[in-house]
Amino acid sequence: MKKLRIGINITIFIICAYLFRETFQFNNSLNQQGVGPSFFPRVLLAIIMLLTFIEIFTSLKMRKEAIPITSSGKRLTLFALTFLVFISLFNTLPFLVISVGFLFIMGIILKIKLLPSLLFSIILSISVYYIFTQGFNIIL
Amino acid sequence: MAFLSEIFQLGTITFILIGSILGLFIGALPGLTATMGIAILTPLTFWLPPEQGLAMLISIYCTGIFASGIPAILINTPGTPASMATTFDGYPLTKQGKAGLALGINAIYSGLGGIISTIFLILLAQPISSFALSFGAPEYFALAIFGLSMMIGISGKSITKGLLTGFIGLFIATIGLDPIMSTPRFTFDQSALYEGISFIPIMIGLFGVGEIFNQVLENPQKIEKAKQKIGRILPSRKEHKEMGKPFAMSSIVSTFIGAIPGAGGDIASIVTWEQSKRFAKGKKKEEYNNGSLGGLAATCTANNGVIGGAFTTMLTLGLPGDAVTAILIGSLMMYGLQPGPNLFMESPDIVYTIFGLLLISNIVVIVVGLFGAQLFSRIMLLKQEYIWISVILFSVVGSYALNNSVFDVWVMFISGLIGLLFRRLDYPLGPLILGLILGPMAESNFRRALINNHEQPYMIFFTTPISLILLGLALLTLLVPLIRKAFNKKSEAA
Amino acid sequence: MYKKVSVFMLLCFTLLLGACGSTSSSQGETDPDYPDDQIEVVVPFDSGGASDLVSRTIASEMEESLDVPFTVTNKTGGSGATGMLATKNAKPDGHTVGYVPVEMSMLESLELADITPKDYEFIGQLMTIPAAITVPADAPYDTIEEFIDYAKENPGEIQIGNSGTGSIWHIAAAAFAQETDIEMQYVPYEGAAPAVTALMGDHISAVSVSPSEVKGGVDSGDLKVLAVMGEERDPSVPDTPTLEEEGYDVSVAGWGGFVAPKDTPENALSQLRESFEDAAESDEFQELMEDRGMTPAYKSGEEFEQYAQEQYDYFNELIPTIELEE
Repeated sequence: MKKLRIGINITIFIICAYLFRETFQFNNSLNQQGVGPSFFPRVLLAIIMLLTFIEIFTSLKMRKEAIPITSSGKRLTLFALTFLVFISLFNTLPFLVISVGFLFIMGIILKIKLLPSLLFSIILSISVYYIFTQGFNIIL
Repeated sequence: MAFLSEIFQLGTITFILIGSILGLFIGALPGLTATMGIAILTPLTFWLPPEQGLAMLISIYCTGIFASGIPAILINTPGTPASMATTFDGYPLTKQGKAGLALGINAIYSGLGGIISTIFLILLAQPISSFALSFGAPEYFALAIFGLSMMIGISGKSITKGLLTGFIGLFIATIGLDPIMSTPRFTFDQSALYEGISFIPIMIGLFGVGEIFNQVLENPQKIEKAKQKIGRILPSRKEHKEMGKPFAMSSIVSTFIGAIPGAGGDIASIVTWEQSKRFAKGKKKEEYNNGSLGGLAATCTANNGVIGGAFTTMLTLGLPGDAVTAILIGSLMMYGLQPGPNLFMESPDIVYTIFGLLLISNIVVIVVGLFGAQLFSRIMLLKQEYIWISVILFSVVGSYALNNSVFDVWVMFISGLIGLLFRRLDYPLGPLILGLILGPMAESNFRRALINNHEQPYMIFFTTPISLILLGLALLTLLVPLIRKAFNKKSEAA
Repeated sequence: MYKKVSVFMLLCFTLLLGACGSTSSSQGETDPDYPDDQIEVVVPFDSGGASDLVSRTIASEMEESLDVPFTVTNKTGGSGATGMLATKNAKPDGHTVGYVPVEMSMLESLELADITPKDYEFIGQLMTIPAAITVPADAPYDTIEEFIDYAKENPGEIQIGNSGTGSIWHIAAAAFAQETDIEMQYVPYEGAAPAVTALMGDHISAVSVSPSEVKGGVDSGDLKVLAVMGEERDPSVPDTPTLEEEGYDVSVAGWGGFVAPKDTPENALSQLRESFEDAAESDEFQELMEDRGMTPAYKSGEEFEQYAQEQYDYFNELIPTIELEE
């Protein structure tokens, strides 16, 4: 936990530093009264960087916690990966095909029995498809 | 009194019911907003006489906003941004096995909030609308700052953590074309980023998908037992008493917030939640963020309460109070009615019809909400795996439907991962959303105020009374918890 | 066990998908059966706005004459760039058309997106919306002449609201200032409605949006329109002169019409154009225009193409000079 927290804060800090540099690229040629487009982002990024600093500091003082055992970590990884592939294929292939397929796979990952999982993915996909395409005129 | 007979015609009542059913769907599905539902149905209503067309649109609006609280309570995913604050107390109640009660409160207080704000509209339309017009750039900026000062209140245990996520939210809001000069910022030449990162996919990801990921990881067999209890739906007399004050405060505040163009249910519900927390005492105060009935009632009241305010601005000034009323102005014009001060003089009947429709639609909200509560909460009796999968599918389709953009679906997915990470590390999500909502309002009005007043630029925020008061309140909101903390430490030491 | 099953399923599934994908082969150049599938109308603005409403009305009329379903898709972002790019890059088979606003001719010179009239086949123009100079009813000037004099005496004091930097109404105000040689402070808002709201609350001194957007305030007697910037007087404020009548050579107006992606087959285009013309001249559409205070201005595909190109050249010349001036 402690390592993760420090890691995240360092990552945020680095991203912010990079974005802060990016603000100098902004087109300030249209000079109007008041502050330009880079003012707000700079202030915000500076504050975020300050806060990550405080966070890293307080985490260092923290005592090491026992990491809660994540027996289902593997399950989440599989689940999230399936989700990721689902989205990458979204809109490239017919919606009903990928939806039924991936919901079924997710069901298997979550250890729902084969038949109910299949039925559920088919019924849910078809009803969602029907609601959105017919009801809301959205092409899926 | 001709309008009364018009309202109680069979046709009108039928369209109110149709509208309510549609609104229920639209509100409860994350990604579909009341604005979108109304926009899509508006062309259909042109074939109907005005009172029936308006009946359908107004009831979609009222029910849609109420219904977005249902998924917020049951699965921690707000149906529309207006119900973001409903998750604070609604979802903890579900975890405690009180889903029924939470749904009941959502129905009753959403309806009552709508009714009270309609009464305000009927009695005080003119003064409220001149209040709304008095908001110039400095006032909007002060309102945004006041809203942002709530960050501390919704930060949970650690203020630095809350501020960190809050400022990240504020920063994300600056991505895209800048509001004053239209200069691209952090867009890396991607035109998909010009309009900024849409707020709704982030919300769906952080709350909905993040929560599902977390549950898949934790595999919470323990909560499941509690969850399967629905419990009673109607609050007891004692509970009503507890919610009385938050309700009264919230219905007034939200009507005024609703009247200000550009400020809607999302802002109102967070502001009123924080205010009712502040006025709560002792043990009740500790319940906030953990299943407080007062907090839930305040947010439910607020999101329907803004409707009356938004209608006030629309009817008296002909200006949109929010996105939905912007569309309604269009449909009134299609009926040959020009909203504005003259509407009251030229066609008072239609004005009274609108008043009547608002009242009835909100009563329908209560009835549908209470009778439906059993049915909605059945969802919780499903095996959790089925709920997870359904939420995933709705998140994908919902975030896509918003703009027909696959980019938004990716935003949703990444927000889901961030939501998981922040949950594991105890970083609060509320401040992030608050920053996203209020960031653009704060920045554009700050800069606009400086353009407007170039002689004594920075003084403008302190010379107009409304902005001075709002900034003062913001300062108080920030300082009081700090002072109290210091005070408590001292008394502990002594 | 479950893991193995799932990996296996995933594999089967991907293969299946690959098979599906390859069967839908590309279509021939001319399609005698056109239209044989639903037609998508891409609108680059949010649902509920004026452009959206116009497109939906036209789509529902065309649906009847072509006898295939029309689906309106809102793709918003980047001053309309996202939606217009989507139309530009769509498959040119006649099953995707798009609404384009005046921004199509402006985005390139604003350096926002790579869009020019050359990227499209034109179906037809629907309407124009002129810019107008509107001020509070109790302002010390009653004619555009007095307004210009006031602005000359008090340079920079007039704060004129618009619907965003680089929006058509901002360009209109700047073109007006350039022609009359006055100096104004431009205050951008997130759209026309908030700008009009600010004007009614006396937070700014004028707006340069269209007459239809200020109609409410004009009817209630809170606002007055000093001049419209169209080529002809606007029906919603028939007593207000145009700038050209007053002797200033500026005319800036918003417009909108339908286009298809470049290289859409000719027989599809001719059917679309024919059906579009009927829709643009239908009673429903004319009524919508009248109710919303817009001026119907049908132009055929060819005329529209020419007009869009002229506008493109005009903005290419105008916009850089505005930026330098500030």
